[in-house]
Amino acid sequence: MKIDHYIVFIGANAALSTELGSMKSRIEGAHIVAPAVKKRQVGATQPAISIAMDALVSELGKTTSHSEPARLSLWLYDPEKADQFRGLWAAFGHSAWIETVPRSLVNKVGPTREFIESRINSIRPLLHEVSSAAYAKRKTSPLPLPLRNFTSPITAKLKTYWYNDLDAESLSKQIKSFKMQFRQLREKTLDGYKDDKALIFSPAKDEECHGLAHPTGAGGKAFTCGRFRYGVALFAGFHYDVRDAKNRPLQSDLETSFGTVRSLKSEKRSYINIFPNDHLLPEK
Amino acid sequence: MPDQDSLETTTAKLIEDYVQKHWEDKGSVHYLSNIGSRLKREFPESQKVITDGLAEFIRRNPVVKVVQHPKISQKIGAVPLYVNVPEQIEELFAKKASSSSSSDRRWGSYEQAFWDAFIQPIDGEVRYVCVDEAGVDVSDTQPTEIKGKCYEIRAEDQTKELTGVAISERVAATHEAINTWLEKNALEQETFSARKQNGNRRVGGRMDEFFDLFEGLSEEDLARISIPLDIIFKLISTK
Repeated sequence: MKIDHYIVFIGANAALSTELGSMKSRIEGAHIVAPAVKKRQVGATQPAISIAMDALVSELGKTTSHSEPARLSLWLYDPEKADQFRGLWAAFGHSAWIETVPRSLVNKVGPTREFIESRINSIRPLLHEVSSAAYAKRKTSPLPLPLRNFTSPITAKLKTYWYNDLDAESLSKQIKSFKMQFRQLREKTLDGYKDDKALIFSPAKDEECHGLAHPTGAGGKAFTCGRFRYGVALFAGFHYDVRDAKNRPLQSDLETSFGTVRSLKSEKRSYINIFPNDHLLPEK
Repeated sequence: MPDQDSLETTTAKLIEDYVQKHWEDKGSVHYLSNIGSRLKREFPESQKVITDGLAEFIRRNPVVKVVQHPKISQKIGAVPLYVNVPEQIEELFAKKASSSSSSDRRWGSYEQAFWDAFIQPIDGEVRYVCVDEAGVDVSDTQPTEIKGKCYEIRAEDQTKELTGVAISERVAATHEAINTWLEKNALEQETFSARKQNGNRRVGGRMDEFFDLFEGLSEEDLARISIPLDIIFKLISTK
């Protein structure tokens, strides 16, 4: 079975872009997204991040949905500034699995490709572990939570590079720890998980995952976050039914998938659907 | 009250700034222990997000590069992301020649009790070091009568267990621990220096002239001087 693996490289020069393109024939199912950028944009620069995002959205748009084993990994040379890392994380941090290539390999196109090819094999088991939590056990794991709207210390941590530098064992331990913390937020009688704003998030049952397979939101980030979480595919149509813990009409201010605030006070809704990428349904 | 997200962001930014400034001033790693103490002091709310330790926080928020001394595992520090880590990582732990940091004064000679305070296990959580005109007094119980000024040494300030490591490295690690502690408390090395033992020297004579030759030299220069053992014996026999 062909497994789609989107391999994105940020800020490649022309030579590296060509070299990385050759991985397509060596990695089955690979979609190489390594757009070449101008010399002054090489590295994790903001223009390079935007160009890569556009190229990825275009590539993902060729398929309407993804199967469970689909993967999205993102590669870049070790950033030179913290702001570069922040910019990259803001754009791709919640959708792709991010890996860095040692800076000693800058301008060494062959060794860079070899490094990625070798490292891809070692991250497969890690991605499998994440997929198990984000896809297969999506109803009991916090990994697919809408990170903007579920307010809790768990999501605060999930917004960081929590899997950085972890091996398979420690990654598994970390995911278990997240699940344990998430379990403590469970409200049995309300059949959901309560966040710090007293909203109840009930994971949708499989038969309720109809309608939009992957709501895309307005921008590239919302689009990729609608399909992938930490490099693994999301279950098509999975969302949370969100309501007030005391069954009152929702009064909260929610964030949309493109970062604007939507106040529900005037809408008099008893519930709203929120997707992992914070897409809100029904729309206003 | 700031939410968890903004605490993470602010703390990460402060760490980045501290490390950047330290690198610009001193050209060496900024020890995580020092960053931690500074955060506690200057932004106590950071402790809400540094629940699993500073190294763990930086792992999740890689705004600086963490490096560990290859031989002395408890020496862990951070440098800005743009710094290329050399093959000889210990170079990052060395100081700029022009630096005036207290941690440069590696070969200070301290009162024995003060030196031991960084090696001997603490009976409790805090060790008190009090200094007055009479000298240094070290105690694991809070002094009832405060003479001079007292400072605290905690387990994290001490030289860590260095089983199987050469004596020279243990000495270096203790000097490093002391220098870090002095820096943390904004203290001068001289405050805890061993009193000069000049009493045994005869007044006048060739020996005094000989020792006087070295008076003006710096600690670094003195450390470079080696005298053949037979000459030492001859010098002693002339006393």
